[in-house]
Amino acid sequence: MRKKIESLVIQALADCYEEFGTELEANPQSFIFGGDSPLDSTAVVSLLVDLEARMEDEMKIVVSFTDERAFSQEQSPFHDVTSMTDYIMVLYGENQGE
Amino acid sequence: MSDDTVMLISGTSRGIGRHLAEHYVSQGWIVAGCSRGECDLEHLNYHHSTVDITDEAEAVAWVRGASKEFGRIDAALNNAGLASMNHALLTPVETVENLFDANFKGTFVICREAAKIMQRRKFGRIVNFGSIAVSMALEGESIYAATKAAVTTYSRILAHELAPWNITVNVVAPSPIKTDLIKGVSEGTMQKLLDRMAIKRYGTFEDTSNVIDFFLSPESSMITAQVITLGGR
Repeated sequence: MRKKIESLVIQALADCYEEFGTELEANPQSFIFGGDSPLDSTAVVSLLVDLEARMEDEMKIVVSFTDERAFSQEQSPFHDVTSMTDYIMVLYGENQGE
Repeated sequence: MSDDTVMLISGTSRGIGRHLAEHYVSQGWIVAGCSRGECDLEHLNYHHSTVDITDEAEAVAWVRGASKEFGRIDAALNNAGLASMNHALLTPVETVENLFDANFKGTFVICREAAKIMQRRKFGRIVNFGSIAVSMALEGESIYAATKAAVTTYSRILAHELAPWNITVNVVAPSPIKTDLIKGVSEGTMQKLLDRMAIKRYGTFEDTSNVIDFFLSPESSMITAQVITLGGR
């Protein structure tokens, strides 16, 4: 499951890079928000909305990034591909527990 | 999935919302309407859902369901709302919560979910409903006007946040219209209110749809973060 989610994050990020006009290659170490990420806040919002849709369309998993915790954590879960994948796994686990 | 343009309208069972649903299906839009109860509008392009927009899960499911069924959402008209008149010192907190839930929270959730879908196609038109009560500062309408002021401010900022995706957000602020929303208000009070407007008459449903037609027009791609108050206040 984690591998699948990570792969989806990387694919969404790659598409986001392309749309944003950067030639960077998306990989598990890629920064999303902060670090060396070329994305601005609008592009990051686009990426998150796109990811919500892809999770539902391709994996039948409903996650929502409208979560205040995302902005109160010491390190943003949207910092890079790994932290993003971890965060989605947490949200997925919570949904499963409901 | 359809190539026709798709519009969401909340509060279509009666009043302005009912008129808007009829108006836009007659113009060829596919309209996904909702209200807490049933709607007697029957048209091939009208699709009704029973939704309590104050319930986030229901509102989200309605927007996503329409997107899945029709493949797109081009416009959202957040018409549903509640009104209540009372002196501020006599207003229970429950009324405040109910009004903010219906007028602000419902609008917020539908905007958020509709914009996520519009964002994918890099196009959208959102029209939210303010009120002339905001600019008139009417006694007895402090809470109602506050909810509409919240909608207005939210819409103006949302317009900036959604502009990168060619989604416009505007507000129509209707003048008093003879609907259920004002049925509990005395004629004398209403006349005093009308006397304070530049155009001293009740508005009509058509006055409102005329403004929305303008906001929705393809030529209005530069029109965003605007509030048009009917009646000249």
